[in-house]
Amino acid sequence: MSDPQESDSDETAPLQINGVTIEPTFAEAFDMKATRVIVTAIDAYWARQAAVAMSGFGTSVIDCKIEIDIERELTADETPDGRPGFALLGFAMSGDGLDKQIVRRCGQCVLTCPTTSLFSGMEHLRDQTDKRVALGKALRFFGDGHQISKWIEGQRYWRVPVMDGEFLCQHDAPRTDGIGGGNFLLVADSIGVALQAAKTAVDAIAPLPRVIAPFPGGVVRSGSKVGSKYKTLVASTNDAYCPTLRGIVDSKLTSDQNAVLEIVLDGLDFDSIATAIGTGVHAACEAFGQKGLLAITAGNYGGKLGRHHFKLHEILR
Amino acid sequence: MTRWTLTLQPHPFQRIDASTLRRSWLADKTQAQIEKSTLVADGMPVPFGDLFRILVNESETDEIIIEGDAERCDGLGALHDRGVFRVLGHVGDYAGASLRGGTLLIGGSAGHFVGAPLASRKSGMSRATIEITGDAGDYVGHRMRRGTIVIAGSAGTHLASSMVAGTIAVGSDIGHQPCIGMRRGTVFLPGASTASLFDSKLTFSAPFDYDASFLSLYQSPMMRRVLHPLIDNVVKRIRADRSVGGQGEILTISQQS
Repeated sequence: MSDPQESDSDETAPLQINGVTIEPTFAEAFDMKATRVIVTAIDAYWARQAAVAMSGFGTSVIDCKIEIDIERELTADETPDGRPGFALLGFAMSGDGLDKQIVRRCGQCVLTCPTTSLFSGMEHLRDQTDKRVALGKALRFFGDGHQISKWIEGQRYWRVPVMDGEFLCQHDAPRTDGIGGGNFLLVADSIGVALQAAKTAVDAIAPLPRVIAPFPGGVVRSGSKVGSKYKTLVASTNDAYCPTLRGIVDSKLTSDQNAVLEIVLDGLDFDSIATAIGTGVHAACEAFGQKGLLAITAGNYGGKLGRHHFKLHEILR
Repeated sequence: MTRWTLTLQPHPFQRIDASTLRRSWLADKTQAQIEKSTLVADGMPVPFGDLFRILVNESETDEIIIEGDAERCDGLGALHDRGVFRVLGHVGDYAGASLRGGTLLIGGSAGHFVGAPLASRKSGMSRATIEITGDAGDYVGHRMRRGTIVIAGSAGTHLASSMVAGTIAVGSDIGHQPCIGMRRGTVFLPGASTASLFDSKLTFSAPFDYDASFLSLYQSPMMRRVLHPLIDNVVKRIRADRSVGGQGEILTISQQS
């Protein structure tokens, strides 16, 4: 991790990618707790239904209490039970918070979805940590005493009777440390260009492992700053990047910068997020540099809140 | 970690009680102490060294290897707790009785009471895996509480009687009166002739079609080999034993398939 003050003073040479200015700043991110679960089903359609439901309303820990999204689609030969599936990554501010959200979401979105099964996606960590997130350990009680425990290859699974047969579910999943809140902002001359550039960046990031972009379509329009004039709010609109507030606040936008979109990234480690930032920014700049994408910047809080600092110039140079 | 290779010597005894021969018993003794210790054979104490030739080596895991014809040795692997207990041949009765952990591999056939309670204990095996490449006798998995028993060949009468929980897979035929008093657990019976043993017995539910998706989680080569007919056929599920309010299950294939 680096010192943001040092970072700013070190940024001497201007950086552009395909005519897009890369601001000499950094994204500030936070320590989180993370896990990966695998949802499978009789076919990819039903696996996707469960995965989409489970990751709904999982954009920000501020009010959703978890940031969760599909990491990637899995082929049948990549899943424990040989059926099509999806890997989801979930991030929360505490282990208890993660546990509560995962159990609720698995109970309401995976257990309920026809033909699904649920597995840990962190088996490589099982012998390295005793931190766990409950899966079948909590969901089994839905079986009302008819649930069946099976020890298979050293792992405990639960078979819970449901109306389409049985819900097969691993007992728990290891949990690990993660990072939440990596980000970059795309500054464009119009919302049309900003949207296309953001989509291009998200599409480029999507295949990358160990990282998710949990907001709708991977994109945020309501970037926030800490605090508000209203005492009950912990965060409010990032007025410095709102084009409609130019002239009445200390705006960071010039007269030709008319739309800003943010991509927020959560990952299992620093390098995964840094790689995603680099991949997304390069894809957007190569496609929309000199076509209306004007600048790339990043959101931070002066480096005082999060200990993970993603310096754009270091990542992109 | 240590590997104890015990080669059974020619002997005149009808039965040898080998239930004290276990990892924890061997681990706190020198080779000389082991040789001087006694086992009970035909009711008489006999020096261990008269029955087995002992070879002790370092190993990546704790392992006990029994060589020679152990068909008259009872209780091999009883109360075994961790590591591998490997028998290169047939064994007598009570193999893996009250087993607690690790793996018991029998490269031959076993006698009666595999995984059952040892002596006056109430519970049969409570953890671990037993793999038998040959056949097994009566009362396999009697009062078994947890763990897995895989038998490539056939099993005798009273399979899984009073089974509390766990998993038993038998590749071939079984004897009469299976799963009596079974409370929980799973018995895989891929042998085509076994389904009829449960016909017209009110203590068992009628067989019904069942999608056993969890079978794909088994990775051990022997288990996969034994379960293979279930994966390729319509699986029939029978619930047992209703006379004791049991929630056990017998997974077999329909006789037509």
